[in-house]
Amino acid sequence: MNAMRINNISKAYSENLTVFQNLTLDINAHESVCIFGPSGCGKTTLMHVIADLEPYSEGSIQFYDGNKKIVKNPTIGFVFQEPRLFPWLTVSKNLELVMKKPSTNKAVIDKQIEKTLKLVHLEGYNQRHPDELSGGEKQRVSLARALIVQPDVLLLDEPFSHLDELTATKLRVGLAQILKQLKITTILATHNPLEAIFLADRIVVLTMQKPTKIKQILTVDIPKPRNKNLYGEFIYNPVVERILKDLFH
Amino acid sequence: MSHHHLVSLPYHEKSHTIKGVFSLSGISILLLLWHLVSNSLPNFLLPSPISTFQKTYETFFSLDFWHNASLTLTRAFIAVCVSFLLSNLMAIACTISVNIKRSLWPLIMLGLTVPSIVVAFISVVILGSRGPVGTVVPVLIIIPILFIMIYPAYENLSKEFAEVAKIFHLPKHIYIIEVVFPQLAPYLFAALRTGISDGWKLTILAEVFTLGDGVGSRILQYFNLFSIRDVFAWTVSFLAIMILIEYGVVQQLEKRFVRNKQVAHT
Repeated sequence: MNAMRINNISKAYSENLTVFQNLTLDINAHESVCIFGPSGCGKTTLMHVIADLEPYSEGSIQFYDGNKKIVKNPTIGFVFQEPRLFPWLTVSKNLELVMKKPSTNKAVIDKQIEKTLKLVHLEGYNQRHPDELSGGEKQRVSLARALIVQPDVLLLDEPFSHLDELTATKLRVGLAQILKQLKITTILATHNPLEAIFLADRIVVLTMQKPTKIKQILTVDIPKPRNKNLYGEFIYNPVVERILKDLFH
Repeated sequence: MSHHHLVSLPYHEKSHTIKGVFSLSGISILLLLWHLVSNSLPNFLLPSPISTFQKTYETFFSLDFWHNASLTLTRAFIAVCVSFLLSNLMAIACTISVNIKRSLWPLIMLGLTVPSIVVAFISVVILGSRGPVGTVVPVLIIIPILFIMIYPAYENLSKEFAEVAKIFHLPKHIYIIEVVFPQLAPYLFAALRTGISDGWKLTILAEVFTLGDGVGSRILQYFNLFSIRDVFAWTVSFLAIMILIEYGVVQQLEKRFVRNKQVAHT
């Protein structure tokens, strides 16, 4: 069942600068799709276009609900490359601010915040300000903010690219567990091949030359939950080895 | 003994004490110099600090002072509010439109470079020495100063935060209150403080020219009568009110609204 359809979209800044052209992609409900490509190929622009942060030149993007009806104003959860938390607000207030229809009942709001913070392993961090958090913790709050709105689609734009590898790996494992638990339709942009294989059901490989096009779509036929240890047995899995070969082909 | 007492204090208290000593030392030196110079000059030219403070006490609790101070405060208050509002509107307009910025910028530069006294003279010539001139002069002088302080805040509002607000569909009023205002607040309060401190001085200056009522006008009257003691007493009394406003109102508001001054810029 389709959750989203990107239909023949193109994005051009000027006549001489077309970022991507005629991209078509169907994304199934509860599926994790990874947009994979080198830096500068237009992944972030594509994510911004999907999130309606930037207009596109041609084509259409449609979101569907469980009854295959078009959703006009989909709820989108977005995790940016950098956390983008409001530094003057506490963790709790950062989450409360984006809750779509904040209930008048404070207890209900607090309960939902507690639940979401528990999901990202940040229980007890409610009253901290972002400058009191580490880079990894900030990004987890950013993920919590994207999850608390109960999104139709979760967009993750290279969410771990600014973190050290150890922290990033821990967060990837945590994210995999959350996605499995919540079954959210997810689009992840990354240039990290292992991250793509670890988290995605399908990997959409973009071309390097402009205008960017879809080069190939790889299915990651590794059952979930995948090995929790990203750098353990997982890396020696023959399927991973084959996908890595395909990615670097 | 006192030194021993100082050493035995906890570090933060000691630090406060040392800061307090330094803060008072400047004023103490000034008072001492004043006292020494006043001893060598006739009393009508420079009264001693003690006689001035006695007169200040009398002035501060007189009906005449509060009547004139309330007039000056009202004018200064209106001038600061109007200047603050207009400079914000101008900053918003300049942020929205490059053409508005192009047309306003030379006027701002002109306002910053023309001496205040010239603005006062021209205003009195055009508007006369009565009526709104006491408010118009400070407004004309303060607007460019406040604009220069406020405009960078509007210009540098975070586009990243605006994107977050758009993605999560924050209502406009929530976006302004919770996202825009905290970014502007440090600049707005700095501008407000400048506006208040310049506003009352310029209002008094304008009142000197308008020959009507208000603290400035009374100071001029006492000056013309060579009563320097009264000039000082009225100045210090009004200064006391402005210090009360600064510490009692502006700083308290700033504490309340600028919760995280340093990180608000990031």
